[in-house]
Amino acid sequence: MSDIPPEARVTSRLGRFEAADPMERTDDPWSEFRSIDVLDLNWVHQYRHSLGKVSRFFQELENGRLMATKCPKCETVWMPPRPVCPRDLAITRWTELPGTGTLAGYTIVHRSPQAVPGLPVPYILAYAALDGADTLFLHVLDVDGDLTRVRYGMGIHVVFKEGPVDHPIWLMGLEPDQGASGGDSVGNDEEIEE
Amino acid sequence: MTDRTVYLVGGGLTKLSADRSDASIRDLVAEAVMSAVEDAGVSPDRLERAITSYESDHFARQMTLGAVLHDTVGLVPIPNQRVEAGGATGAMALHTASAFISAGLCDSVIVYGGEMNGRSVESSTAEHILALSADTDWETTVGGTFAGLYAIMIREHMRLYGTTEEQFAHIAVKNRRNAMANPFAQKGMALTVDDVLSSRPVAEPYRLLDCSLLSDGAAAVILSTATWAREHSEHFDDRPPIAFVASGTATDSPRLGDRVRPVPGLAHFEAKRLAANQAYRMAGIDDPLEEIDVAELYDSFSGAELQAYEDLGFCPRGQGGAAAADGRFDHGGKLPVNTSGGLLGQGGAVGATGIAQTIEIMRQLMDDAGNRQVKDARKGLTDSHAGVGSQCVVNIFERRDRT
Repeated sequence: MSDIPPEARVTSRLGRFEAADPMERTDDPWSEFRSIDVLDLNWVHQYRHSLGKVSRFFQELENGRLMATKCPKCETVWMPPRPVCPRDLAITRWTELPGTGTLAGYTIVHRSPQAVPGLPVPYILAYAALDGADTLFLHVLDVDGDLTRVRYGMGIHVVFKEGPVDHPIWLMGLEPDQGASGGDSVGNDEEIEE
Repeated sequence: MTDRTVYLVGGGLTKLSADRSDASIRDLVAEAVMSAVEDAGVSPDRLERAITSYESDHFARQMTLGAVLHDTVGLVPIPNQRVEAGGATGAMALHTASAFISAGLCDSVIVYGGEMNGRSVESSTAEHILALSADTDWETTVGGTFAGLYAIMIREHMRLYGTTEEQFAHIAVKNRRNAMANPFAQKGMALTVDDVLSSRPVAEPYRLLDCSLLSDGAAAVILSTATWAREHSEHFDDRPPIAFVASGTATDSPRLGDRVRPVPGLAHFEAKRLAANQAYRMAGIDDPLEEIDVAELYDSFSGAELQAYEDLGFCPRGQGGAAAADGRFDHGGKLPVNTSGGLLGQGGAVGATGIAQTIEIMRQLMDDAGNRQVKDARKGLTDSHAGVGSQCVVNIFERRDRT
């Protein structure tokens, strides 16, 4: 046993250290408990994630169609689609949207989210008010690298993509209309600061 | 009928830090519970019920954490249950404890909890786990991080009301300054508005110093009736009694995009307004700015505190920006907010947050807040929410005269 160096005895051990009292007390009540070992535990898990009753939304993206759901009672058009209208607790019906709309809210995100590997930064996280829908739809607005183009209220539209993609939500995206500009422009932060 | 009014009889908080790897979650909760029991002067075996407050199994890498923590601090075999409400977890645990006591189910409850939000995982992994509390089918999947969603909300506020980055930078400065007077705080800092505005952008208009901290930490608080406290708490009669007078809670659609009402739209926390109004009715408060003396608000981002000023009725809608900048919520101002330093300065260990807010208010109302004491504080409020306001809890506490 003495032939094995301490660092090799526990392969997951990240380190051992002498902890200071975080409250910096002169009489540390935990003085016998300050030699600390930290382990490096790895856990990778895969999910078998059903898209359930909104699957048709994703299936139709492959056909270049944008599908929402409509409540037969209150006629609210839900986008993202909901199989159940929460206002009436009623089963909705599928309805196709034209894929046009306006920009209702946005931010420029500078940190790459671990939840979406490979998403280049900065990106514009945008709420689209899609024509025909009663709710707002969140997606990335692709301005082809020109962040100064983004304006509240600007015309935007859905574009469909071929794939291959990691998640079917990326079979679509949002792009500004040709020559689009917003009604009540505020501009982006860079412009305000200048 | 006997008086079922609920009192805070003691509390304990650990040092909050980005890295408490000197301790496990069990160790931290034990520290907090031991401190609360000592503060209350209560023998733990007299406690009748417990509520465990934590948000996620993923940080501690332990499911049924409540059972483990409950056993760790020697509370077996009394009843225990977990309460979870995202960022409002601790406040909802207190709401539940209050209901138990008010209903006569028991006379005393200990609420304890914590979270290892610091370095137990990489910060990118922590953000990933926290992003799972957005809608994972429709938001998380397209890069809808919490920084991004909060940024969309404050940008809408800027568009509607002309609110500026400078105005919410004042909140980032204030809370970190307040934290300098709090020995339990993770990161007190002397900053200027320019420091905040020159920190790197995260999700525009938010910059690094507008974002709250991810912390390791734990907290515990003991609640009871006055009769129980007189019998079992050594210190109850030596200190001003602090009554838990009101607790309001309400919900909203988790996805911002489903909140398409013209007002409040994306710029406000509607459920916060509803929760506050409930709490004000229970507490008999007509004008919160005039009647409340000290408050701990949920400053997950600097601008979220600004929006909360409005939704809690501390100022009219659209005037939060001016209010943030004019000093009325500073220490020494009309209504000091986040004297602890809040999530921006004291730190954010989710399961501990609502409890830590309560402890700060309790200390202030007991006139026991040391060099951050607010003069003559009699009524205090805590505010917290899950997600971007999907579940909101507003609790109100009041110092009573000794009888």
